[in-house]
Amino acid sequence: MSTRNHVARNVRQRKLNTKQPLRIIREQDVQDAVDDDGQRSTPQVETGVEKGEEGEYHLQAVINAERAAVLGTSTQQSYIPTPDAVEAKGVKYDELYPKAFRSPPATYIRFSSTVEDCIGITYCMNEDDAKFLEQLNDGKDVNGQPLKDKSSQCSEDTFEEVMNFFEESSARMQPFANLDDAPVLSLEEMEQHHREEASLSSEAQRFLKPIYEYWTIRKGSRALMPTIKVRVLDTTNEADDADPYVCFRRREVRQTRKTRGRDAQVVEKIKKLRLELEQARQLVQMVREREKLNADNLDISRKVFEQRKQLKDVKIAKNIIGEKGEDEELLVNQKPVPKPKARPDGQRPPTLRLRSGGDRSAPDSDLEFLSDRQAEAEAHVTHTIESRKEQHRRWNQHWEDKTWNPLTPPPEPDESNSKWGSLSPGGTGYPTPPPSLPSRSSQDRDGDIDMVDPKPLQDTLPGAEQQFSFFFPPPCSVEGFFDEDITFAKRNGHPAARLRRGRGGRLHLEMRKARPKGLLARGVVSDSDSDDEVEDYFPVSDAKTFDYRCALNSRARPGPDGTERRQWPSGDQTAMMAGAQQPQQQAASSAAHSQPNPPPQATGGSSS
Amino acid sequence: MAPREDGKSGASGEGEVKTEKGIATLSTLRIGTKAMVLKDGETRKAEILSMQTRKGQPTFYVHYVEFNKRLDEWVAADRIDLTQEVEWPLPEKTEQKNKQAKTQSKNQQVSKTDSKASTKAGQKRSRSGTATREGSTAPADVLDKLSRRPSQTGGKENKDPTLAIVATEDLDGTPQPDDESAVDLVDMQEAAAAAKAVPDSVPYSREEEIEKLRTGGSMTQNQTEISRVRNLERIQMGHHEIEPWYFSPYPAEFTDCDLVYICEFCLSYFGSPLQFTRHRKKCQLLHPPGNEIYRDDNVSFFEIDGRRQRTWCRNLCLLSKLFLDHKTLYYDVDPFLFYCMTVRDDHGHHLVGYFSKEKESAEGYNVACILTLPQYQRKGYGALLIQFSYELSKIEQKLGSPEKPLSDLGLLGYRAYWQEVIVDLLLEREQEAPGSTGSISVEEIGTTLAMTNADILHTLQNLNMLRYSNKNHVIVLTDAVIAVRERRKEKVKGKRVIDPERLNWKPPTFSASARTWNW
Repeated sequence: MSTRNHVARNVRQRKLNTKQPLRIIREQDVQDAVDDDGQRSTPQVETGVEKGEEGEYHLQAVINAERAAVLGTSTQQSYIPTPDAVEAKGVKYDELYPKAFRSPPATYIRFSSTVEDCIGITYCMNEDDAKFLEQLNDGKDVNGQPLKDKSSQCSEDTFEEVMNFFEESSARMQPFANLDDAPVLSLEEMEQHHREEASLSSEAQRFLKPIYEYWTIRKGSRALMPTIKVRVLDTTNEADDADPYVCFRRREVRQTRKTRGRDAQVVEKIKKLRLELEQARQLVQMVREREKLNADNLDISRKVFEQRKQLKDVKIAKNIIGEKGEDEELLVNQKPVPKPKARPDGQRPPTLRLRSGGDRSAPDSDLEFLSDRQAEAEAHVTHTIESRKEQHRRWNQHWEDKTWNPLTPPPEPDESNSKWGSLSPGGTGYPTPPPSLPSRSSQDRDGDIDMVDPKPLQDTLPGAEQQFSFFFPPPCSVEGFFDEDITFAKRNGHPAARLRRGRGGRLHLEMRKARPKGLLARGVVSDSDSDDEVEDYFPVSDAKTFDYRCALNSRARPGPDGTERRQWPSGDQTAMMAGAQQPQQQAASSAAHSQPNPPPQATGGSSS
Repeated sequence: MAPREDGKSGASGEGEVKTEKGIATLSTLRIGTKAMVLKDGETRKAEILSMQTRKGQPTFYVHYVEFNKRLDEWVAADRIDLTQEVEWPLPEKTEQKNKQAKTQSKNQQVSKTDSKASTKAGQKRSRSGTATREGSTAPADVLDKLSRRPSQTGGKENKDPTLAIVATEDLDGTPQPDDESAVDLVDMQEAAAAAKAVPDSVPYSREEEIEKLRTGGSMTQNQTEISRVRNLERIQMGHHEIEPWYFSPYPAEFTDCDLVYICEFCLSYFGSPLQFTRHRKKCQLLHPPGNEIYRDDNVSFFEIDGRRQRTWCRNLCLLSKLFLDHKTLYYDVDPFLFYCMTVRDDHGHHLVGYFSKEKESAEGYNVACILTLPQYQRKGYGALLIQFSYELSKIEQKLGSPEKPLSDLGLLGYRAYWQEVIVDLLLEREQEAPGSTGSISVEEIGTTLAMTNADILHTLQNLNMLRYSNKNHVIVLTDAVIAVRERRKEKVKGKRVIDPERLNWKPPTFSASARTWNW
C-alpha cells in the first residue's frame, strides 16, 4: 500500500487518521517542495482489478495516460477497445416491437407479473414447424399422406399450444428423459395426461394426433426449445460441476447444528404449522359450505319468486282481480322471510311491470315493513328534534325570556332579532321537516295500478310535507313568545293546533304539525307521519282554517307533483337534503305566508 | 511501459521452467502453442486455445497475450506467422499431480509445477468426444468479420505473471495423442482455462471459491471458471447487433447459430428468427418486471428481486455474462436484487444497463455486477449507474463499494466517478470556507458520498492528491484534477445526473427465515 511506502520513505510521516480533518489546499500552496519529489511518482494503489488482468495492455495504456494527466504531463486520450456493437440491418423493429407504450403511466410503475405470465405459450415455432403446419393445413400428415379430416385449419397459436403441451407433458412425466433414453410418451399417455389436466383448448384437441406424429419425429432427448442447464440441487456431482453450461445452481440451505433441543423446537414448529394449516383449511371449508347454503337459499327464493310471478300472470290472464285480501293471503307466507323478498326487489328492473304487480299484491307485507321503517324514521326524527331542543336550550341558556311576562317591556329590537336569528332554521336545518319515508312509500305505490283511490292523496303528500315545513315557522314568528320546547312537544306529539291566550288577553291560534282532519280528507294537506297517530283534534275557527288552506294551496300549486316528489326520494336522502333545502324553504315560506300572516318584520315589531 | 516483446523474452518472463521453442508447421500447431499472429498490421504473440476446420481450412481461436480476453478471436491459418519460432506447450508433467488433485479436491492449492499447465491442457484436449462445434460449422464471413475486429498493437509490459494453475478441472485418464481434426470444445475450453495463467497470489482454489460464492458474491476469481472460448457468434437485441465478449452458458445449441435473438423486454433468447418473431407476437412485457423506483426525463430504474423474477433475472445474467468476464453464474440469482436502468420511448422501456446487489452483503458491497450494455456504452450511462448505486447506499446509510475484482472498464468507470464526486465535494468545501482553508476528514467524505475509506484513499492517492505537508497530511486539489473537471464541465453541458429527489425507494427488508431459506 502506498501509505506504507510513504512511511518507509519519510520516516517521520504520521499515519493517516481517517477521522482527522485534512486541510484542502491548492497546488500552489503546497509548501514542502522537498516532499514533492518523493511523491512525484504516483503511488501504486490496489486497483481492485484481478492481478492477472491488471497488466493488460490496453488497461495499462489508459492508466498510464491518466497518471500522466495527473502529473500534468501529456494527456493522450486512450481507451479500451471492445468488440463491435452495431446497428442491426434489416430489423423490422416496429413490427417486432410495436409502439405499445405511447401513454406511459404518470406514476411510477409497480409490477409483479413474471416473465412466464407475460409471454403466453412458451413454445415458439421455428421454420421446420412452419413447413409442417403448412402441410397440415393442406390436409396432409407428416409423411405427406392425406389426412382423413382436412376440414379445419390449424392456426399457429393452436399449433404452438399443442406442441407446448407435448413438451411440457413429457418434461413433467419424464423428467430424466435426457439421461436414460426413456421412450417417447405415447399419444394415449398424452391424452390421458390431457384429461387429467384439462389444459388444452377444444381447438387444440382436434390436432393432437397429427401434431403428435410430427412431434415424435422432432423429439430428441432434449427439449425442443433450447433451455439452459439448470440443476435443482447444489450437487457435488463432478460432471455437473465441470460443465460450463450448467448454471444457476441452488444453494444448499445453510446447515445448522443439530441438537436435541433444536430438533424438538423444529418438531414443535412443524406441529404448529400443521395445526394452523388445518385451521385454515377448515375455515375455507366452512366458508365453502356457507356459500353453498347461500346458493341453495337463493335458488329457492328464486323459485318462490317465479311461482309468484306465474300466479300473477295467471291472474292477469284470467282477469282475476279478486279481492285485495286474497292476493295478500297468498303471499302471507312470504312475509316472515324478508331476505328472499328483498332479493327479488333488487332484481326488479328486468321485469318491472309484472313484478311491481307482485309487490303490490302484498301490500300488507309492505305495510308492515313500512311501518317498521316509519317507526325507525320517527325515532330518527324524534332524536333529531330532541337534540335540537337540547341545542336550543343551550343557546337560550343565558337568555331571559321576558316574553312570558306580558307586562315586561319587550327587549331591544336588535336583541330580539338576534334571538330570532338563533331560532331561525338558518343553515342548521332547524326545524327539520319530518322524514320523507312516507313519500317514499308513496313513490313505491305510485306505479301501482290497483290502488286508484289513494292516488290523489299520495300526490299531495310530498307537497303537504313541505307545506308543513314552511308552514311551521310563521306561527313561531308571529307568536314569537312561546317556548320552543312546547312547540316541539306539540310538533312531536299530538296537538295540531290550539288556542292560547296571549298578551293583552288576545286569543291566538297556534297551529302545529297535525292538520285539521277536514283538510286531510279533502286531500289538500296530509302528513302520513301523523295519520295514524293524531288523536287530538282541536276545532279551529273557520276563518283561521281558511287562511291556512289558502297558504297550503298557494304553496302546493307552483311545484308539480313529480318534481316535488323527486325532491324527496328517500328518508336518508331527505335528511341529507334537509339542510340544503331549508334556506330555500324558509324563503319560500316567508313569501308564501306574507299574506295570511304578518310579515317577519312585523314579528320583530310585535315582539319589541 | 515495456515494448512489445518477442517470443523469446516472453518465454523467459514465464519463470523457472524453460519453454521449448521451435519452428512449427501448420499441422504441428497444437492447442496451447503460442505463436505470432497478425493483428491489425502487427504480429503479436497469441496462444492457440482452440482449433477447427472450417470449409476445409483450419482456423484457430487465439488469445493475444496481454490483451483482454474480449479480443480473442478466430483467425485463419494465414495470419499465423510460422516463420517465427513458436512456444510449444509444456510437456505433461503435472498429470499425476492433477489426478491426485481430482480425488482429493478439497484443498487444491496452486502447485509449483503448474507452469506446465498449458502443456497438460493442450495434450488433454481430445479426451472425450462430445464435440459441440466440429468442422466447418461457422461460415467464412463470420470468420472474416471476427478477424477484422479493431485492435491496437504496440508495447506491452513484461509483467507476465508466473504461470500457474488452479488445477480443479476434472481430469480423467491419461493423456491421449493429439488429434487435430476432431477437437472437443469443452476440452478446448479447459485448455484455455488451464492456459490462462493464474498468479500465485490468488488465494482461492475452486472449491474455496465456490464455497465463498455460496454464501455471497457474484464474481469469480478463478480462471477455470471464466477462460473459455466464446460460444455465441453474435446477438441481436432490439436495434443492435452485438458481438459477445465472453462465454455465457446459453443453451449449447446456440453455438451453432450465427445470430442469437434476444427479446429486448423479457430477455428471452432464440436461435431462429421465426421463433423470435413468434415470441415477439406473444410477449407482453414493456419494461423490466419490477417496481419503478426512479424516473426522470431520461432514464428510469426498476428494482427486481431475483427470487421473485427468477426467469427474467436469469435471462439478464446470461446476457450480462456475455460482457462480464468475472461474473459467475454458478449459483442462482435468488440472493440478489437487480437495479435496471432503462430509457423510454413509444415502444417501452429499453434496458440500458443494470447493476445487481446482494440482498445482504457480508463484505459491505453495494454493487455485485454492473454493466452498461455495449450498444449504450460510452454515453455516460455507466456513471449514472454508479451514481445510482451510491444514492441507494446513502438512503441505506451505509458505505458501499463494488464487489471485486473489477473489470478494466469497471475500474476506469469507478475511478472517473470517484474522482468527480470527491473533487466536487472538496471544491464545495473550499468555497464554504472562503479565506481560510477548508478541511475535511476522510471519514466525512465517506459518509457524505457513501464511499468506503479505502476507495477514497485509493482515489486520492491515485490522483496524487494526498500529500504530506508541514508534518500533516493534506489534500491537494491539484491543477490537473481541476483541469480535468473544467474540461468535463465544458464537454458535457447537459450532463445526466441522478436526482435523488426522484428516487422513491426504501431499502427492502428480508426476514431471517428468508435468509435461511435461500432468500
